[in-house]
Amino acid sequence: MRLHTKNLSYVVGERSLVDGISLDMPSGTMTAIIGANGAGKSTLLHLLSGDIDPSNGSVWYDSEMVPAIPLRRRAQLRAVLDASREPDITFTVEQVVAMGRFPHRFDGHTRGDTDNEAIKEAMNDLDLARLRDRQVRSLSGGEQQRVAIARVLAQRSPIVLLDEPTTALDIGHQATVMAQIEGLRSKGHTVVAVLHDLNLATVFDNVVLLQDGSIVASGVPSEVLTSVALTLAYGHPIDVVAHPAHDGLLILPRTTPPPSHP
Amino acid sequence: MTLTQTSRAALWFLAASVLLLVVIGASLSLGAVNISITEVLSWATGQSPDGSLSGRVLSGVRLPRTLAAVAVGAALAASGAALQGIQRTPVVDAHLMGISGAAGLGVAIGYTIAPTGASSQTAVLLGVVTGIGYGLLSRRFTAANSGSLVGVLVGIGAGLALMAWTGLFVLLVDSADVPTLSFFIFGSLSGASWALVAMAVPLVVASVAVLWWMGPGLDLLALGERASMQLGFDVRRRVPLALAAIGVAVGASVALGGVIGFVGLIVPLTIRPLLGSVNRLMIPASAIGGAIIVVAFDILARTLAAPIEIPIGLLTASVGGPVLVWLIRRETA
Repeated sequence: MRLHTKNLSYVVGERSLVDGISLDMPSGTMTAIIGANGAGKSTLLHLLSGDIDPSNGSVWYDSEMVPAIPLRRRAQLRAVLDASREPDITFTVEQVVAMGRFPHRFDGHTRGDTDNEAIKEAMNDLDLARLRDRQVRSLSGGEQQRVAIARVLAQRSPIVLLDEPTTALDIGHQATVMAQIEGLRSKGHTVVAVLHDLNLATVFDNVVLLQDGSIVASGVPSEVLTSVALTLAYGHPIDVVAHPAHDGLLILPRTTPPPSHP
Repeated sequence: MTLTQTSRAALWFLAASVLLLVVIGASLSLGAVNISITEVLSWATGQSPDGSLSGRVLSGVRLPRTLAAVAVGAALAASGAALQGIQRTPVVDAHLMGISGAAGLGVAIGYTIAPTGASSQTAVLLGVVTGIGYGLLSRRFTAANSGSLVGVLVGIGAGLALMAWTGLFVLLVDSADVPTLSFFIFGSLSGASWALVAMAVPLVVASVAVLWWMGPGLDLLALGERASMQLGFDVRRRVPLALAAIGVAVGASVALGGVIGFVGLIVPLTIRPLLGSVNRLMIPASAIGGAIIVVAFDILARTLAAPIEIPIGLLTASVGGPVLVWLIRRETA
Protein backbone atom coordinates (compact mmCIF):
# COMPACT_ATOMS: atom_id res chain seq x y z
CA MET A 1 0.00 0.00 0.00
CA ARG A 2 1.35 3.39 -1.03
CA LEU A 3 1.65 6.02 1.66
CA HIS A 4 2.00 9.57 0.44
CA THR A 5 1.60 13.11 1.68
CA LYS A 6 0.94 16.39 -0.05
CA ASN A 7 2.28 19.64 1.36
CA LEU A 8 1.70 18.41 4.92
CA SER A 9 1.79 21.00 7.72
CA TYR A 10 0.99 21.01 11.41
CA VAL A 11 0.86 24.32 13.22
CA VAL A 12 0.53 24.87 16.96
CA GLY A 13 -0.01 28.54 17.76
CA GLU A 14 2.52 30.46 15.70
CA ARG A 15 4.92 27.55 15.32
CA SER A 16 5.01 25.05 12.46
CA LEU A 17 6.03 21.66 13.89
CA VAL A 18 5.74 20.15 10.41
CA ASP A 19 5.99 22.45 7.41
CA GLY A 20 5.03 21.62 3.82
CA ILE A 21 6.17 18.00 3.64
CA SER A 22 5.46 15.99 0.49
CA LEU A 23 6.61 12.38 0.54
CA ASP A 24 5.93 9.27 -1.50
CA MET A 25 6.46 5.89 0.15
CA PRO A 26 5.52 3.01 -2.17
CA SER A 27 4.78 -0.61 -1.14
CA GLY A 28 7.81 -2.68 -0.25
CA THR A 29 10.01 0.23 0.78
CA MET A 30 11.60 1.34 4.02
CA THR A 31 11.80 5.03 4.82
CA ALA A 32 13.83 6.40 7.71
CA ILE A 33 12.99 9.76 9.25
CA ILE A 34 15.95 11.36 10.99
CA GLY A 35 16.75 14.72 12.52
CA ALA A 36 17.73 16.39 15.78
CA ASN A 37 15.43 16.51 18.83
CA GLY A 38 12.43 18.74 18.11
CA ALA A 39 12.86 18.50 14.32
CA GLY A 40 9.26 17.26 13.97
CA LYS A 41 9.91 13.50 13.48
CA SER A 42 7.31 12.20 15.95
CA THR A 43 4.74 14.82 14.90
CA LEU A 44 5.19 13.69 11.29
CA LEU A 45 4.66 10.05 12.36
CA HIS A 46 1.45 10.98 14.23
CA LEU A 47 0.23 12.80 11.11
CA LEU A 48 1.00 9.73 8.97
CA SER A 49 -0.91 7.49 11.39
CA GLY A 50 -3.89 9.85 11.59
CA ASP A 51 -3.56 10.43 15.35
CA ILE A 52 -3.65 14.17 14.63
CA ASP A 53 -5.23 16.01 11.72
CA PRO A 54 -2.97 18.20 9.58
CA SER A 55 -3.39 21.98 9.67
CA ASN A 56 -2.77 21.94 5.92
CA GLY A 57 -2.15 19.36 3.23
CA SER A 58 -3.10 15.69 3.30
CA VAL A 59 -2.02 12.11 4.03
CA TRP A 60 -3.12 9.29 1.70
CA TYR A 61 -3.17 5.48 1.97
CA ASP A 62 -3.38 4.56 -1.75
CA SER A 63 -6.32 6.64 -2.95
CA GLU A 64 -7.96 7.15 0.47
CA MET A 65 -7.40 10.31 2.46
CA VAL A 66 -6.61 9.37 6.07
CA PRO A 67 -9.08 11.47 8.11
CA ALA A 68 -11.94 9.94 6.05
CA ILE A 69 -10.91 6.34 6.83
CA PRO A 70 -12.95 4.99 9.78
CA LEU A 71 -10.89 4.20 12.88
CA ARG A 72 -11.33 0.42 12.69
CA ARG A 73 -10.38 0.22 9.01
CA ARG A 74 -7.45 2.56 9.58
CA ALA A 75 -6.19 0.09 12.20
CA GLN A 76 -6.43 -2.69 9.61
CA LEU A 77 -4.31 -0.66 7.19
CA ARG A 78 -1.57 0.65 9.46
CA ALA A 79 0.10 -0.29 12.73
CA VAL A 80 1.93 2.13 15.03
CA LEU A 81 4.76 1.63 17.47
CA ASP A 82 4.56 4.74 19.63
CA ALA A 83 7.45 6.32 21.46
CA SER A 84 5.57 5.80 24.74
CA ARG A 85 6.13 2.19 25.73
CA GLU A 86 3.71 -0.34 27.23
CA PRO A 87 2.81 1.06 30.65
CA ASP A 88 2.40 -0.62 34.00
CA ILE A 89 -0.29 -3.19 33.24
CA THR A 90 -1.21 -6.63 34.48
CA PHE A 91 -1.54 -8.39 31.15
CA THR A 92 0.59 -11.28 29.97
CA VAL A 93 2.90 -11.05 26.95
CA GLU A 94 0.55 -13.19 24.87
CA GLN A 95 -2.48 -11.07 25.84
CA VAL A 96 -0.73 -7.83 24.83
CA VAL A 97 0.47 -9.28 21.51
CA ALA A 98 -3.11 -10.49 20.90
CA MET A 99 -4.32 -6.87 21.26
CA GLY A 100 -2.73 -6.29 17.84
CA ARG A 101 -5.50 -8.47 16.38
CA PHE A 102 -8.26 -6.24 17.81
CA PRO A 103 -8.99 -4.39 14.53
CA HIS A 104 -9.43 -7.69 12.67
CA ARG A 105 -11.86 -9.32 15.09
CA PHE A 106 -15.53 -8.57 15.61
CA ASP A 107 -15.25 -6.27 18.62
CA GLY A 108 -12.28 -8.29 19.72
CA HIS A 109 -14.21 -11.35 20.88
CA THR A 110 -13.80 -14.20 18.43
CA ARG A 111 -10.28 -15.37 17.75
CA GLY A 112 -9.83 -17.35 14.55
CA ASP A 113 -6.98 -19.43 13.12
CA THR A 114 -5.46 -16.43 11.34
CA ASP A 115 -5.41 -14.51 14.62
CA ASN A 116 -3.74 -17.35 16.52
CA GLU A 117 -1.19 -17.83 13.78
CA ALA A 118 -0.35 -14.10 13.60
CA ILE A 119 0.07 -13.93 17.39
CA LYS A 120 2.28 -17.03 17.52
CA GLU A 121 4.41 -15.92 14.60
CA ALA A 122 4.93 -12.42 16.02
CA MET A 123 6.00 -13.85 19.39
CA ASN A 124 8.40 -16.29 17.74
CA ASP A 125 9.86 -13.57 15.52
CA LEU A 126 10.74 -11.46 18.54
CA ASP A 127 12.02 -14.30 20.65
CA LEU A 128 9.10 -14.05 23.11
CA ALA A 129 7.67 -17.59 23.07
CA ARG A 130 9.48 -18.35 26.33
CA LEU A 131 7.97 -15.26 28.01
CA ARG A 132 4.45 -15.96 26.70
CA ASP A 133 2.66 -16.17 30.07
CA ARG A 134 4.81 -13.65 31.95
CA GLN A 135 3.26 -10.41 33.19
CA VAL A 136 4.45 -7.58 30.93
CA ARG A 137 5.21 -5.35 33.89
CA SER A 138 7.60 -7.93 35.31
CA LEU A 139 9.79 -7.70 32.17
CA SER A 140 12.83 -5.51 31.51
CA GLY A 141 12.54 -2.36 29.39
CA GLY A 142 14.01 -4.08 26.34
CA GLU A 143 11.73 -7.10 26.71
CA GLN A 144 8.71 -4.80 27.01
CA GLN A 145 9.79 -3.09 23.81
CA ARG A 146 9.95 -6.43 22.00
CA VAL A 147 6.40 -7.13 23.23
CA ALA A 148 5.28 -3.78 21.77
CA ILE A 149 6.95 -4.58 18.43
CA ALA A 150 5.38 -8.06 18.40
CA ARG A 151 1.96 -6.44 18.94
CA VAL A 152 2.62 -4.23 15.91
CA LEU A 153 3.70 -7.23 13.78
CA ALA A 154 0.64 -9.25 14.87
CA GLN A 155 -1.53 -6.48 13.44
CA ARG A 156 -0.29 -7.51 9.94
CA SER A 157 -1.15 -4.17 8.39
CA PRO A 158 0.22 -3.11 4.99
CA ILE A 159 1.63 0.12 6.49
CA VAL A 160 3.90 -0.03 9.55
CA LEU A 161 4.92 3.15 11.41
CA LEU A 162 7.65 2.82 14.02
CA ASP A 163 8.89 5.48 16.44
CA GLU A 164 12.41 4.50 17.51
CA PRO A 165 11.94 0.73 17.27
CA THR A 166 15.40 -0.15 18.58
CA THR A 167 15.95 2.12 21.58
CA ALA A 168 16.32 0.14 24.83
CA LEU A 169 17.27 -3.00 22.89
CA ASP A 170 20.58 -4.80 23.29
CA ILE A 171 22.71 -5.02 20.15
CA GLY A 172 21.60 -8.59 19.38
CA HIS A 173 17.91 -7.78 19.57
CA GLN A 174 18.50 -4.57 17.57
CA ALA A 175 19.69 -6.84 14.77
CA THR A 176 16.64 -9.10 15.25
CA VAL A 177 14.29 -6.12 14.97
CA MET A 178 16.11 -4.78 11.90
CA ALA A 179 15.82 -8.23 10.28
CA GLN A 180 12.08 -8.20 11.04
CA ILE A 181 11.71 -4.75 9.49
CA GLU A 182 13.57 -5.89 6.35
CA GLY A 183 11.32 -8.97 6.33
CA LEU A 184 8.27 -6.69 6.28
CA ARG A 185 9.70 -4.85 3.28
CA SER A 186 10.28 -8.07 1.37
CA LYS A 187 6.64 -9.04 2.02
CA GLY A 188 5.53 -5.78 0.42
CA HIS A 189 4.75 -3.72 3.54
CA THR A 190 5.41 0.00 3.60
CA VAL A 191 7.67 0.73 6.54
CA VAL A 192 8.37 4.18 8.01
CA ALA A 193 10.64 4.48 11.04
CA VAL A 194 11.79 7.42 13.12
CA LEU A 195 15.42 6.69 14.00
CA HIS A 196 18.01 8.14 16.32
CA ASP A 197 20.70 5.61 15.44
CA LEU A 198 21.88 6.91 12.07
CA ASN A 199 23.82 3.71 11.31
CA LEU A 200 20.48 1.86 11.13
CA ALA A 201 19.30 4.39 8.52
CA THR A 202 22.04 3.25 6.13
CA VAL A 203 20.10 0.07 5.25
CA PHE A 204 16.83 1.92 4.48
CA ASP A 205 15.68 2.60 0.91
CA ASN A 206 15.03 6.24 1.58
CA VAL A 207 16.13 8.65 4.26
CA VAL A 208 14.31 11.89 5.10
CA LEU A 209 16.33 14.42 7.09
CA LEU A 210 14.18 16.94 8.96
CA GLN A 211 15.12 20.26 10.49
CA ASP A 212 12.62 22.63 12.12
CA GLY A 213 9.71 20.71 10.60
CA SER A 214 10.98 20.87 7.01
CA ILE A 215 12.80 18.41 4.78
CA VAL A 216 16.42 19.48 4.32
CA ALA A 217 17.46 16.35 2.42
CA SER A 218 15.63 13.31 1.09
CA GLY A 219 16.74 10.38 -1.01
CA VAL A 220 18.85 7.21 -0.90
CA PRO A 221 21.15 6.91 2.15
CA SER A 222 24.36 7.72 0.27
CA GLU A 223 22.87 11.06 -0.85
CA VAL A 224 21.36 12.13 2.46
CA LEU A 225 23.80 10.71 4.97
CA THR A 226 26.67 13.05 4.20
CA SER A 227 28.98 14.66 6.68
CA VAL A 228 27.97 18.17 5.59
CA ALA A 229 24.18 17.62 5.77
CA LEU A 230 24.27 15.77 9.10
CA THR A 231 26.68 18.25 10.69
CA LEU A 232 24.35 21.10 9.77
CA ALA A 233 21.18 19.32 10.83
CA TYR A 234 22.47 18.05 14.17
CA GLY A 235 24.65 21.06 14.97
CA HIS A 236 27.60 18.83 15.78
CA PRO A 237 30.51 17.61 13.62
CA ILE A 238 29.64 14.18 12.23
CA ASP A 239 31.93 11.97 10.13
CA VAL A 240 30.64 9.59 7.49
CA VAL A 241 33.20 6.96 6.45
CA ALA A 242 33.22 3.77 4.41
CA HIS A 243 32.36 0.75 6.54
CA PRO A 244 35.51 -1.34 7.09
CA ALA A 245 33.69 -4.70 6.75
CA HIS A 246 31.21 -4.17 3.89
CA ASP A 247 30.35 -1.56 1.28
CA GLY A 248 28.05 0.45 3.56
CA LEU A 249 28.51 3.65 5.50
CA LEU A 250 29.61 4.20 9.06
CA ILE A 251 28.42 7.35 10.81
CA LEU A 252 30.33 8.67 13.79
CA PRO A 253 29.86 11.81 15.86
CA ARG A 254 33.22 13.51 16.34
CA THR A 255 34.41 13.30 19.94
CA THR A 256 37.40 14.90 21.58
CA PRO A 257 40.22 12.39 21.07
CA PRO A 258 41.76 11.00 24.22
CA PRO A 259 45.12 12.56 25.14
CA SER A 260 47.87 10.62 23.40
CA HIS A 261 50.52 9.11 25.61
CA PRO A 262 54.09 9.86 24.63
CA MET B 1 1.93 -29.59 36.03
CA THR B 2 0.37 -26.17 35.79
CA LEU B 3 -3.16 -25.65 34.58
CA THR B 4 -3.56 -23.79 31.32
CA GLN B 5 -5.21 -20.41 31.57
CA THR B 6 -8.36 -21.69 29.89
CA SER B 7 -8.85 -24.65 32.21
CA ARG B 8 -8.06 -22.52 35.25
CA ALA B 9 -10.74 -20.04 34.20
CA ALA B 10 -13.24 -22.85 33.53
CA LEU B 11 -12.53 -24.33 36.96
CA TRP B 12 -12.93 -20.92 38.59
CA PHE B 13 -16.29 -20.28 36.92
CA LEU B 14 -17.54 -23.74 37.84
CA ALA B 15 -16.55 -23.37 41.51
CA ALA B 16 -17.93 -19.83 41.73
CA SER B 17 -21.25 -20.85 40.17
CA VAL B 18 -21.64 -23.70 42.67
CA LEU B 19 -20.79 -21.35 45.53
CA LEU B 20 -23.33 -18.82 44.24
CA LEU B 21 -26.04 -21.50 44.21
CA VAL B 22 -25.10 -22.49 47.76
CA VAL B 23 -25.35 -18.94 49.13
CA ILE B 24 -28.62 -18.39 47.23
CA GLY B 25 -29.99 -21.55 48.90
CA ALA B 26 -28.79 -20.32 52.27
CA SER B 27 -30.30 -16.88 51.66
CA LEU B 28 -33.69 -18.45 50.88
CA SER B 29 -33.48 -20.73 53.88
CA LEU B 30 -32.20 -18.42 56.66
CA GLY B 31 -33.99 -15.53 58.35
CA ALA B 32 -36.67 -14.62 60.87
CA VAL B 33 -38.48 -17.80 59.84
CA ASN B 34 -36.00 -20.59 59.18
CA ILE B 35 -37.05 -22.74 56.27
CA SER B 36 -35.23 -26.04 55.75
CA ILE B 37 -33.38 -26.65 52.50
CA THR B 38 -35.75 -29.57 51.76
CA GLU B 39 -38.68 -27.16 52.02
CA VAL B 40 -36.87 -24.63 49.80
CA LEU B 41 -36.21 -27.32 47.21
CA SER B 42 -39.77 -28.65 47.19
CA TRP B 43 -41.00 -25.05 46.87
CA ALA B 44 -38.55 -24.40 44.04
CA THR B 45 -39.75 -27.50 42.18
CA GLY B 46 -43.39 -26.51 42.72
CA GLN B 47 -44.21 -29.34 45.10
CA SER B 48 -45.05 -27.37 48.26
CA PRO B 49 -48.73 -26.88 49.14
CA ASP B 50 -50.28 -23.61 47.98
CA GLY B 51 -50.58 -20.91 50.61
CA SER B 52 -48.17 -22.45 53.13
CA LEU B 53 -46.37 -19.92 55.35
CA SER B 54 -42.94 -20.93 54.09
CA GLY B 55 -44.13 -20.71 50.49
CA ARG B 56 -45.47 -17.20 51.04
CA VAL B 57 -42.28 -16.08 52.82
CA LEU B 58 -40.14 -17.52 50.02
CA SER B 59 -42.01 -16.03 47.08
CA GLY B 60 -43.04 -12.78 48.73
CA VAL B 61 -39.92 -11.84 50.70
CA ARG B 62 -36.88 -14.07 50.37
CA LEU B 63 -36.82 -14.56 46.60
CA PRO B 64 -37.06 -10.86 45.63
CA ARG B 65 -34.53 -9.98 48.31
CA THR B 66 -32.09 -12.67 47.18
CA LEU B 67 -32.48 -11.69 43.51
CA ALA B 68 -31.85 -8.08 44.50
CA ALA B 69 -28.69 -9.10 46.37
CA VAL B 70 -27.44 -11.05 43.33
CA ALA B 71 -28.11 -8.07 41.05
CA VAL B 72 -26.54 -5.52 43.42
CA GLY B 73 -23.37 -7.58 43.81
CA ALA B 74 -23.10 -8.29 40.09
CA ALA B 75 -23.66 -4.63 39.19
CA LEU B 76 -21.18 -3.21 41.71
CA ALA B 77 -18.36 -5.68 41.04
CA ALA B 78 -18.69 -5.72 37.23
CA SER B 79 -18.78 -1.89 37.24
CA GLY B 80 -15.72 -1.86 39.48
CA ALA B 81 -13.80 -4.10 37.08
CA ALA B 82 -14.75 -1.93 34.08
CA LEU B 83 -13.93 1.33 35.90
CA GLN B 84 -10.53 -0.05 36.87
CA GLY B 85 -9.87 -0.62 33.17
CA ILE B 86 -11.05 2.85 32.19
CA GLN B 87 -9.14 4.63 34.98
CA ARG B 88 -6.09 2.38 34.52
CA THR B 89 -5.77 1.70 38.22
CA PRO B 90 -6.89 -1.34 40.24
CA VAL B 91 -7.97 0.80 43.20
CA VAL B 92 -11.16 2.48 42.03
CA ASP B 93 -14.86 1.58 41.94
CA ALA B 94 -18.26 3.25 41.51
CA HIS B 95 -18.40 4.08 45.23
CA LEU B 96 -15.01 5.85 45.29
CA MET B 97 -15.77 7.59 41.99
CA GLY B 98 -18.94 9.11 43.47
CA ILE B 99 -21.26 7.34 41.01
CA SER B 100 -23.08 5.53 43.84
CA GLY B 101 -23.45 8.83 45.71
CA ALA B 102 -24.95 10.51 42.64
CA ALA B 103 -27.33 7.60 42.09
CA GLY B 104 -28.31 7.82 45.78
CA LEU B 105 -29.34 11.45 45.37
CA GLY B 106 -31.33 10.48 42.27
CA VAL B 107 -33.10 7.65 44.10
CA ALA B 108 -33.99 9.96 47.02
CA ILE B 109 -35.40 12.55 44.63
CA GLY B 110 -37.24 9.79 42.75
CA TYR B 111 -39.06 8.60 45.86
CA THR B 112 -40.00 12.22 46.69
CA ILE B 113 -41.48 13.19 43.35
CA ALA B 114 -42.94 9.78 42.42
CA PRO B 115 -46.59 9.66 41.40
CA THR B 116 -48.75 7.42 43.61
CA GLY B 117 -48.27 3.74 42.84
CA ALA B 118 -45.06 4.22 40.84
CA SER B 119 -42.51 5.00 43.58
CA SER B 120 -40.21 2.03 42.87
CA GLN B 121 -40.17 2.67 39.14
CA THR B 122 -39.50 6.40 39.58
CA ALA B 123 -36.71 5.69 42.07
CA VAL B 124 -34.99 3.25 39.68
CA LEU B 125 -35.41 5.65 36.77
CA LEU B 126 -33.98 8.65 38.63
CA GLY B 127 -31.16 6.53 40.06
CA VAL B 128 -30.21 5.36 36.58
CA VAL B 129 -30.48 8.84 35.06
CA THR B 130 -28.28 10.46 37.72
CA GLY B 131 -25.88 7.49 37.52
CA ILE B 132 -25.46 7.99 33.77
CA GLY B 133 -25.27 11.77 34.09
CA TYR B 134 -22.62 11.68 36.79
CA GLY B 135 -20.70 8.88 35.03
CA LEU B 136 -20.43 11.00 31.87
CA LEU B 137 -19.64 14.15 33.85
CA SER B 138 -16.87 12.38 35.77
CA ARG B 139 -15.14 11.69 32.46
CA ARG B 140 -14.65 15.44 32.00
CA PHE B 141 -12.81 15.67 35.31
CA THR B 142 -10.84 12.46 35.17
CA ALA B 143 -10.00 11.85 31.48
CA ALA B 144 -6.80 13.86 31.69
CA ASN B 145 -5.80 12.03 34.87
CA SER B 146 -6.43 8.41 33.97
CA GLY B 147 -3.85 6.21 35.61
CA SER B 148 -3.25 8.70 38.40
CA LEU B 149 -4.77 9.10 41.83
CA VAL B 150 -6.00 12.62 41.00
CA GLY B 151 -9.05 11.18 39.25
CA VAL B 152 -9.82 9.00 42.27
CA LEU B 153 -9.47 11.95 44.66
CA VAL B 154 -11.84 14.05 42.54
CA GLY B 155 -14.33 11.19 42.71
CA ILE B 156 -13.99 10.80 46.48
CA GLY B 157 -14.55 14.53 47.00
CA ALA B 158 -17.60 14.61 44.76
CA GLY B 159 -18.94 11.38 46.28
CA LEU B 160 -18.73 12.73 49.84
CA ALA B 161 -20.47 15.94 48.80
CA LEU B 162 -23.22 14.00 47.01
CA MET B 163 -23.73 11.80 50.06
CA ALA B 164 -24.03 14.91 52.24
CA TRP B 165 -26.49 16.51 49.84
CA THR B 166 -28.52 13.30 49.82
CA GLY B 167 -28.52 13.34 53.63
CA LEU B 168 -29.67 16.97 53.75
CA PHE B 169 -32.33 16.22 51.18
CA VAL B 170 -33.64 13.19 53.07
CA LEU B 171 -33.74 15.11 56.37
CA LEU B 172 -35.39 18.20 54.87
CA VAL B 173 -38.00 16.25 52.92
CA ASP B 174 -38.68 14.13 56.02
CA SER B 175 -41.11 11.85 54.23
CA ALA B 176 -42.19 8.30 55.02
CA ASP B 177 -42.02 7.61 51.27
CA VAL B 178 -38.24 8.09 51.21
CA PRO B 179 -35.88 5.45 52.66
CA THR B 180 -33.87 6.36 55.76
CA LEU B 181 -30.54 8.15 55.75
CA SER B 182 -28.83 4.87 56.64
CA PHE B 183 -30.02 3.37 53.30
CA PHE B 184 -28.12 6.08 51.42
CA ILE B 185 -24.90 5.65 53.39
CA PHE B 186 -24.67 1.96 54.32
CA GLY B 187 -27.38 0.36 52.19
CA SER B 188 -29.99 -2.28 52.96
CA LEU B 189 -31.81 -4.92 50.96
CA SER B 190 -34.79 -5.01 53.33
CA GLY B 191 -36.90 -2.89 50.97
CA ALA B 192 -36.36 -5.15 47.93
CA SER B 193 -39.86 -5.64 46.53
CA TRP B 194 -40.97 -7.39 43.34
CA ALA B 195 -41.77 -3.98 41.85
CA LEU B 196 -38.15 -2.85 42.36
CA VAL B 197 -36.67 -6.18 41.26
CA ALA B 198 -38.80 -6.37 38.10
CA MET B 199 -37.51 -3.02 36.91
CA ALA B 200 -33.94 -2.97 38.23
CA VAL B 201 -32.73 -6.53 37.59
CA PRO B 202 -33.20 -6.45 33.78
CA LEU B 203 -31.30 -3.13 33.71
CA VAL B 204 -28.41 -4.71 35.61
CA VAL B 205 -28.36 -7.75 33.31
CA ALA B 206 -28.38 -5.54 30.20
CA SER B 207 -25.69 -3.16 31.40
CA VAL B 208 -23.34 -5.93 32.60
CA ALA B 209 -23.82 -7.61 29.20
CA VAL B 210 -22.84 -4.36 27.45
CA LEU B 211 -19.72 -4.08 29.62
CA TRP B 212 -18.80 -7.70 28.85
CA TRP B 213 -19.29 -7.08 25.13
CA MET B 214 -16.97 -4.05 25.34
CA GLY B 215 -14.38 -6.04 27.31
CA PRO B 216 -11.71 -6.49 24.61
CA GLY B 217 -11.82 -2.77 23.84
CA LEU B 218 -11.53 -1.88 27.53
CA ASP B 219 -8.43 -4.13 27.66
CA LEU B 220 -6.72 -1.89 25.10
CA LEU B 221 -7.06 1.12 27.42
CA ALA B 222 -4.22 -0.37 29.45
CA LEU B 223 -1.96 0.63 26.54
CA GLY B 224 -3.22 4.21 26.82
CA GLU B 225 -6.00 6.03 25.02
CA ARG B 226 -3.94 6.98 21.97
CA ALA B 227 -2.75 3.41 21.41
CA SER B 228 -6.38 2.24 21.80
CA MET B 229 -7.45 4.67 19.08
CA GLN B 230 -4.57 3.46 16.88
CA LEU B 231 -5.92 -0.08 17.28
CA GLY B 232 -9.37 1.01 16.13
CA PHE B 233 -11.14 1.40 19.50
CA ASP B 234 -12.98 4.71 19.36
CA VAL B 235 -12.23 5.94 22.87
CA ARG B 236 -14.22 9.16 22.40
CA ARG B 237 -17.43 7.20 21.84
CA ARG B 238 -16.88 3.88 23.55
CA VAL B 239 -15.61 5.10 26.93
CA PRO B 240 -18.70 7.31 27.45
CA LEU B 241 -20.83 4.32 26.40
CA ALA B 242 -19.11 2.15 29.02
CA LEU B 243 -19.56 4.88 31.65
CA ALA B 244 -23.26 5.10 30.75
CA ALA B 245 -23.59 1.32 31.16
CA ILE B 246 -21.85 1.62 34.54
CA GLY B 247 -24.28 4.43 35.45
CA VAL B 248 -27.25 2.17 34.60
CA ALA B 249 -25.87 -0.77 36.61
CA VAL B 250 -24.97 1.35 39.63
CA GLY B 251 -28.19 3.40 39.50
CA ALA B 252 -30.30 0.24 39.44
CA SER B 253 -28.23 -1.31 42.24
CA VAL B 254 -28.56 1.76 44.48
CA ALA B 255 -32.34 1.73 43.96
CA LEU B 256 -32.36 -1.94 45.02
CA GLY B 257 -29.98 -1.88 47.96
CA GLY B 258 -28.81 1.65 48.68
CA VAL B 259 -25.18 2.74 48.74
CA ILE B 260 -22.86 -0.20 49.51
CA GLY B 261 -19.11 0.28 49.47
CA PHE B 262 -16.08 -1.97 48.93
CA VAL B 263 -17.78 -4.68 46.84
CA GLY B 264 -16.72 -3.07 43.56
CA LEU B 265 -13.19 -2.68 44.83
CA ILE B 266 -12.47 -5.94 46.64
CA VAL B 267 -14.02 -8.44 44.22
CA PRO B 268 -12.05 -7.52 41.07
CA LEU B 269 -8.91 -7.02 43.16
CA THR B 270 -9.25 -10.57 44.49
CA ILE B 271 -10.00 -12.11 41.09
CA ARG B 272 -7.31 -10.32 39.07
CA PRO B 273 -4.37 -12.41 40.34
CA LEU B 274 -6.32 -15.63 39.68
CA LEU B 275 -7.78 -14.99 36.22
CA GLY B 276 -5.70 -12.10 34.89
CA SER B 277 -6.96 -8.76 33.65
CA VAL B 278 -8.69 -9.74 30.40
CA ASN B 279 -12.08 -8.04 30.76
CA ARG B 280 -14.10 -10.62 28.87
CA LEU B 281 -13.30 -12.92 31.81
CA MET B 282 -12.90 -10.28 34.54
CA ILE B 283 -16.33 -8.69 34.03
CA PRO B 284 -18.46 -11.88 34.25
CA ALA B 285 -16.20 -13.32 36.97
CA SER B 286 -16.56 -10.13 39.00
CA ALA B 287 -20.33 -10.21 38.49
CA ILE B 288 -20.52 -13.74 39.93
CA GLY B 289 -18.04 -12.95 42.72
CA GLY B 290 -19.91 -9.77 43.64
CA ALA B 291 -23.21 -11.66 43.73
CA ILE B 292 -21.73 -14.26 46.11
CA ILE B 293 -20.33 -11.57 48.42
CA VAL B 294 -23.49 -9.44 48.60
CA VAL B 295 -25.82 -12.44 49.07
CA ALA B 296 -23.52 -13.76 51.83
CA PHE B 297 -23.24 -10.38 53.57
CA ASP B 298 -26.99 -9.87 53.35
CA ILE B 299 -27.51 -13.19 55.18
CA LEU B 300 -25.15 -11.95 57.90
CA ALA B 301 -26.88 -8.56 57.98
CA ARG B 302 -30.24 -10.08 58.86
CA THR B 303 -29.12 -12.98 61.06
CA LEU B 304 -26.11 -11.76 63.13
CA ALA B 305 -28.12 -9.50 65.45
CA ALA B 306 -31.67 -10.69 64.67
CA PRO B 307 -34.26 -9.35 65.06
CA ILE B 308 -32.23 -6.17 64.49
CA GLU B 309 -30.92 -5.84 60.93
CA ILE B 310 -27.37 -4.54 60.50
CA PRO B 311 -26.94 -2.21 57.48
CA ILE B 312 -25.08 -4.36 54.92
CA GLY B 313 -22.63 -1.58 54.05
CA LEU B 314 -21.40 -1.55 57.65
CA LEU B 315 -20.44 -5.19 57.26
CA THR B 316 -18.85 -4.85 53.81
CA ALA B 317 -16.81 -1.87 55.04
CA SER B 318 -15.84 -3.59 58.32
CA VAL B 319 -14.41 -6.55 56.46
CA GLY B 320 -13.61 -4.86 53.14
CA GLY B 321 -11.48 -2.05 54.59
CA PRO B 322 -8.85 -4.29 56.19
CA VAL B 323 -8.94 -6.70 53.23
CA LEU B 324 -8.31 -3.78 50.88
CA VAL B 325 -5.32 -2.63 52.93
CA TRP B 326 -3.95 -6.19 52.90
CA LEU B 327 -4.48 -6.61 49.14
CA ILE B 328 -2.82 -3.30 48.32
CA ARG B 329 0.13 -4.06 50.58
CA ARG B 330 0.54 -7.45 48.91
CA GLU B 331 0.21 -5.85 45.46
CA THR B 332 2.81 -3.18 46.13
CA ALA B 333 5.17 -5.31 48.23
